[in-house]
Amino acid sequence: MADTAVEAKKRGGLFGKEEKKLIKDPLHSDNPVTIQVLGICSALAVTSQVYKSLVMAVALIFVCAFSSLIISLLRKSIPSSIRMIVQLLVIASLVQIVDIVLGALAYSAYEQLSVFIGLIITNCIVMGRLEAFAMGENTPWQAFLDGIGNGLGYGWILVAMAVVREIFGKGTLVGYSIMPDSYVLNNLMVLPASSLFVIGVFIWIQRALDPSLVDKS
Amino acid sequence: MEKQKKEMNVYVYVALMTTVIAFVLSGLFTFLNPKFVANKATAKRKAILQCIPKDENLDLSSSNTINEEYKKITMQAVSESGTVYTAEELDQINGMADGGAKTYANLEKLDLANEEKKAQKNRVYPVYTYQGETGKYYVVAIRGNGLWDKIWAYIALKEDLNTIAGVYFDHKGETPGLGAEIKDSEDFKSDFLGKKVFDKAAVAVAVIKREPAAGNEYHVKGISGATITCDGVTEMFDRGMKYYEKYFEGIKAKKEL
Repeated sequence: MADTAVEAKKRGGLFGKEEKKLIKDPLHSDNPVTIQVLGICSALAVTSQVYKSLVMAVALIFVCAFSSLIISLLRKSIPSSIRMIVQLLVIASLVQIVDIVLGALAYSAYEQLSVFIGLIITNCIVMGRLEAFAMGENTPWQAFLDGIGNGLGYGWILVAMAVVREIFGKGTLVGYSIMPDSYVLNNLMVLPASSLFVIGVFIWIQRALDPSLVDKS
Repeated sequence: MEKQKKEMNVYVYVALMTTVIAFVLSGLFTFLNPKFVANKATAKRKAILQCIPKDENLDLSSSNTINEEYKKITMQAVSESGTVYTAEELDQINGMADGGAKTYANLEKLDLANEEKKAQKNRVYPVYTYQGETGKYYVVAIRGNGLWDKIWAYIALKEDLNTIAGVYFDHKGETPGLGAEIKDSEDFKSDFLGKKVFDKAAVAVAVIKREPAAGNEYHVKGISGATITCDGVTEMFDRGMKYYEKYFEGIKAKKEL
């Protein structure tokens, strides 16, 4: 397996067919949120405003990509009995880095998000990708791309949900008022419960457009 | 292929990993923390300056301008009994720290959450005075309970020490769209402007459920769906403003002389 991965890399270069697939699949057919239904907890918490979910998405892409890269580089040396602990250690320190950098460079985002940033540590997507892909027989570059892909897959759903919730719940988009004054704000959309409806509708639309995604059973 | 490579000793591996990570993190922290602390201080200054009426044309657009504008503010601390402490008398305030309360490196670090640890008679409360073109303003800090967690506010009073000139609310974890509107809703905040805090000696300003009667000087319309947070705001005013009453009386007495 290791040899075929190397060959694939030789054939396709840095962005071969396989590599593109790693980025593309999580965006749609293997989306971590709508298909695998992972990371829902944070999808509920941070999607009330577009700005919040954008920062969260960027943070998750960073953590997911670099933890995949680091774990993939280390994987042969990690003693198997403590591999999960090592994964958590890497994730937690990356999250801490995000937290420190946000506090220093984007304080207003930090004020609103620091609680949720801390929760990336327990985001099932990150650890799931480490276990399923980075620890497997893949090159560090592929693991890195897989991390970016899954982070993007999570991020775009998050932002899309936030757009819907912010427009209908607050009448604004990224803080700018866009709805006519006559529009009565729907308070339900601001509450966490509404993200369950929104994500349900998203899953429905996605499966309606692409029936191949529907679970046969 | 060789046989499965012998794995490294678990303890050695973990020790190595944690050492490397600890060095990376502490390095980054040491490098960036001063900036973080400065950001925090600027955010507090901005909150205080936001209470000063718009007519004063304060430039709060960047951290540089905020820190520049803040120089116009004089800060003092007052006790419930009316004693005034200036920035030079910080030692006296620090000398009263009990109940595990921290001491302050300078008066600007004064923090109500920290003061609440002290015995009531030892607590001091901040007063920020601002002398502008449209008059003198006194900004005071109050702190109370919302629905889920703490709420706090800076209130700017006009020279009569009764009329509200500006408010800034913040909260730790009120519900977005409901309780959190005390911070986010401009309508709610602007409702406070021009209202009176005291009716004779009693704190009379209150957030009520209905539209206040026309001409009512003390009542502010609440946020629907956020009754407990709004009651918390009323309670916060009621308790917090009393701490300043003696100090206000002292200023008024001086003026009458």
